[in-house]
Amino acid sequence: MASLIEEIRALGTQALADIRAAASLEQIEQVRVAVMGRKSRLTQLMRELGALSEDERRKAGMVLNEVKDAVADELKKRRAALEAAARAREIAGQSVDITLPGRARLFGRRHPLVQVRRQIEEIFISMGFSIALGPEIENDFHNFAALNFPDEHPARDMQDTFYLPGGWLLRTHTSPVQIRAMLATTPPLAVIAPGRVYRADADVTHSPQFHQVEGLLVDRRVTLGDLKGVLEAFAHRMFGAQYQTRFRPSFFPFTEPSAEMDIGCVICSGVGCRVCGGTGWLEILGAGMVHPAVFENVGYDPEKWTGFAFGMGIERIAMLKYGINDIRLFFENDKRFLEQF
Amino acid sequence: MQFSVRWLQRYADLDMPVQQLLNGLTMAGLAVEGVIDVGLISGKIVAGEILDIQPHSTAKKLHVCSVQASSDPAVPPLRIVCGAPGMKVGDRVPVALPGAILPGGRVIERCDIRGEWSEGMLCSGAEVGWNKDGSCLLQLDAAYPIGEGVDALVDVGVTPNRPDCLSLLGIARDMGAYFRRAVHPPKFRCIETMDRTDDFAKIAVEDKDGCPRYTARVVRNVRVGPSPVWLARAVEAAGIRSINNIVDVTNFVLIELGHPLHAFDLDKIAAHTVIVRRAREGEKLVTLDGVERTLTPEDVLITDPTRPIALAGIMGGENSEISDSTINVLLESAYFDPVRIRKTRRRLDIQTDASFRFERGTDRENIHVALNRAAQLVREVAGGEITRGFLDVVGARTKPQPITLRIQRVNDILGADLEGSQIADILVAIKCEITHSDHHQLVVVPPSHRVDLLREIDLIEEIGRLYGYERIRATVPYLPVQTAAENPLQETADRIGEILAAEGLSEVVTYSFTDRESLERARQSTADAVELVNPLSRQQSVLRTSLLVSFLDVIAHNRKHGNADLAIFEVAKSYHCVGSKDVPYQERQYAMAALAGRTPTHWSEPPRPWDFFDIKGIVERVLRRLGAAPEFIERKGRPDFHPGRTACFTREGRDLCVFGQVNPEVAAAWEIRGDIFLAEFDLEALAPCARPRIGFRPLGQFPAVVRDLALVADRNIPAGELELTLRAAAGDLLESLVLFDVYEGDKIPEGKRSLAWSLTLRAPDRTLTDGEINTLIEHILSALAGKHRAELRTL
Repeated sequence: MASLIEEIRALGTQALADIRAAASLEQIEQVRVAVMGRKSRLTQLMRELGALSEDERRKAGMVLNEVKDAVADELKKRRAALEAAARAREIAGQSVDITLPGRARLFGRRHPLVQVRRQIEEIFISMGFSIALGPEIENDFHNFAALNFPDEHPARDMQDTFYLPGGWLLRTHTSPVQIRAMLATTPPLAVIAPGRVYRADADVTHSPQFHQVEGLLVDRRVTLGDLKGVLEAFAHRMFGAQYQTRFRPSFFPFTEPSAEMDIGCVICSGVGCRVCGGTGWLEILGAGMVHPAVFENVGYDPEKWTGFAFGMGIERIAMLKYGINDIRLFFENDKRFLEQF
Repeated sequence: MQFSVRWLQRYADLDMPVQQLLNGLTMAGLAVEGVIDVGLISGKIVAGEILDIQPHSTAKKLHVCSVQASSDPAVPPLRIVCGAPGMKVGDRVPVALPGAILPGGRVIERCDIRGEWSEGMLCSGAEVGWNKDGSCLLQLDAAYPIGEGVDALVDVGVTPNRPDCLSLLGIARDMGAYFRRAVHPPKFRCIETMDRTDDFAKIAVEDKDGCPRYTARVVRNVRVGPSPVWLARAVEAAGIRSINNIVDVTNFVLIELGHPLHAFDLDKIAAHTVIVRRAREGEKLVTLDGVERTLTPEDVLITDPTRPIALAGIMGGENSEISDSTINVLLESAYFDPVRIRKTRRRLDIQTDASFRFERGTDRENIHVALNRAAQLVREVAGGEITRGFLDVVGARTKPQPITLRIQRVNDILGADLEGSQIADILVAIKCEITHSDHHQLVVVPPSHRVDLLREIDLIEEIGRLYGYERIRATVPYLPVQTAAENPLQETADRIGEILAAEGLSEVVTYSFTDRESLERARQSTADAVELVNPLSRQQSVLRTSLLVSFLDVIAHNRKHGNADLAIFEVAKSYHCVGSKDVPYQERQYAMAALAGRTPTHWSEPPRPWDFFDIKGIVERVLRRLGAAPEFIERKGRPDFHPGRTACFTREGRDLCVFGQVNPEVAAAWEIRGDIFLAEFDLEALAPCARPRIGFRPLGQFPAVVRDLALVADRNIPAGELELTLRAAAGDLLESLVLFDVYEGDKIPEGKRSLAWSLTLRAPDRTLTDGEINTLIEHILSALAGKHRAELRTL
């Protein structure tokens, strides 16, 4: 009996030593089979316990279990250590060249004119304006007559018009949308109208096709002061509050009084440069109080309603914002250009 | 309108720094568009007098001049080397001092010119930007004081409503009002002889509509010749070429007073009789520019009893032109109907200083003032005698009408708080007459030169302008709250743009224009193409009927610049004639996407050319994200697309999107090698799906079973048909179906192809049993076998 217990203990001691000596996961598996496997001496002894007396069996069983637990524990520890070492080796071999380029995926961009258009829209929408749209192919009434451009008036020379057969034309500004919006609804209203417009004019700063955003507010007691307040707020949000604004008298047939708004030159900050012609100011939009004749043309009572309208060229705003010097770049769509925005 | 600052200062007390004047012009609405500084601003170009001329020691053609260039006689003269021909002692000329920058950008410095020291430069008219003459020094008259900056030539933009500012006097009046300074119209006396004018010339006006007033004077025995220096410089300062003393006088009066005049050689007018009438159809006149003009009854014509002699208000005729041999002059000052002048000059495509003013409106009440001024100046510069009285044929007279101006209305529009007296002050400053005033309103008669002041709002603008926009307080209005009308088309356009950008495509913005040939080459319809009546160029002569032409241009342009790989889109319109009488034209909204070249380059895998399934994937994802799940896919035959590689997703019988490969023949027409894949989304068809209703489906709580099925079927059977059968057989338990392999080759029989799907099966209310799944798979297989003779692939 004593010799049995001794044998068990000796087996245990040997097993622990073997486990500690195992240098790889394969070896530890071999050791496990050898000490704990079905054919191992330990398992055999387990089976032989049945032949002992109950007292002896209990005593030997206790020792046997003690040894088995110790071996199992050691096996687990050793295996964990070996696994950790294996992972460490694996990780050490997994180093990549972090300077190689990341995997390419196409990166889509909105066109700079669209980006600027959306910025303008967002600013005015946040103030309470909503978007109105109109066709690009227009008639004389919406594009000129209703906007108080009399027939054969020199004011029509301000906008070189493309004509289509049948007396139709390509709209020269987004202002006809003012007329359409007013004819479609009753005041009060506050709309902006972005869109494509056309003029028979082409050079570095003029394109036969360009984009405008028109704005119109009609309500009771709208004043020139309100026009200044809204457009100053726009300019500051579009370009930054550090730029001054100024309003100069101007002329548009459909507004009176009319104004143009300048901002301090974004290139030279007002010192004077080639872009601003040395004046320190850049014109960014035209505006004015809606002319009573326009209200009369759409059936609004000018004694009851007043309003202001404004219009700006998206290309011009984008050129100033990004420092682009040739309007044609917008329509050439060179990849090298598009990828800058 | 270009003018000289020194001349302007003769008509109003505007002796202030030039910068202050320029700012005043801009803030009064006369936007300064350009300034040629001939020393008045910089002080670096001054008037100087040549005191002495000595030969240059080494250069034959050069001289060394001694030039007095300071107003202080104690300051020693400058020593300046000059090679200008014809200069002489006593000449007064512009002297560019060291540090001067000439209009062309040239900087003047003290320097050694071939061994002689030079302290500046004597300048020609071209060098200082006064005129185009670079052949000799610019002669100045005594009005330019020695040692002072010469002048500044200012170009202002005059808006169409302000023809009164198309003259020195007009600008002086406006600046006088703006700065509240005194204005001085020219003072002159017309010295006449005892001979009566109507003994020498007769006027008859037959076309009273075209010519409501015609006045004329006769100056006899003039000597035509070059203008005196002051007159030549004065007209040149306004950008007009000096011609001779008589013509220059008419141009000077145009600049000074704003009224266009014409001078005839009286002896070339038959019977010394001028008849103003409508032209006859087809009548011809050779104008001063040597062009023969064919006329119509729309035109106002100046004639004598035998022939036309001038195109009224636009240009004189060659046959009655002032020449060196002219002795007797007929001066014309008339008022012509703006609309008639405009129609004629537009039809004939000529614009002159005269027509520019007539069509905007001149001061009808004061045309005789301009006439008298011209007669007096002709006598002054060309000698001669002015006969007694002027001929004056007046039709209907028009007086400016009184306007009622409400004080409250002024403040309501401007957002200001002006008193009646402040308003009256401003109106008086612009020469309005106030015939009545009380606490509420003023009755105002505008001056005859302000043809733009017709109603109350016109006066309110004047008050705002001269009170100063900068003094009006910026306020923030309460905006009317309103719900924007829904616009599904616009929403779809916005969303599809965002989705395509998220797909990695970059947006382009192209021209709506193209030409017929391009449409034909791109195999687009031309029958419904909208033609421009007045295109700028042939390349931009019609509106596109498809975005494809623009895309081919963009791809070709980029290829030329080394960017063969493109993934682009645009959201824009095509334009069509639809023939209907009320709405002859139609604009259609599309989104177009294109892939050209190859996939992005990365070291880990070789790039490959884009293919049909790249564009199809984009289309599928776009439609899914728009919420416009297509019902059917079908082949599409379109001349602009590849016959075997084109498809169309449809829904409720409408094409949502046609996509596939651009017909290689079309690409070749743009010299684009390599395949182009294109998708054309019809936004009008997609708009009804713009706001998808998203209904939440509960997430399955029971485990899913994944089974892979590889099926071998005839290679001609479209995968989509097999899939339809599979889906129908699988029923509701099929949660998802992914095709993960397509194989053709020697491992399966010829003419066959293997398609492998992964099926995810799940029941919402229970765990599926093996038995249930096996039965379902059997059912699917038998359906596929029955309908398509597809069999399970065995390895």
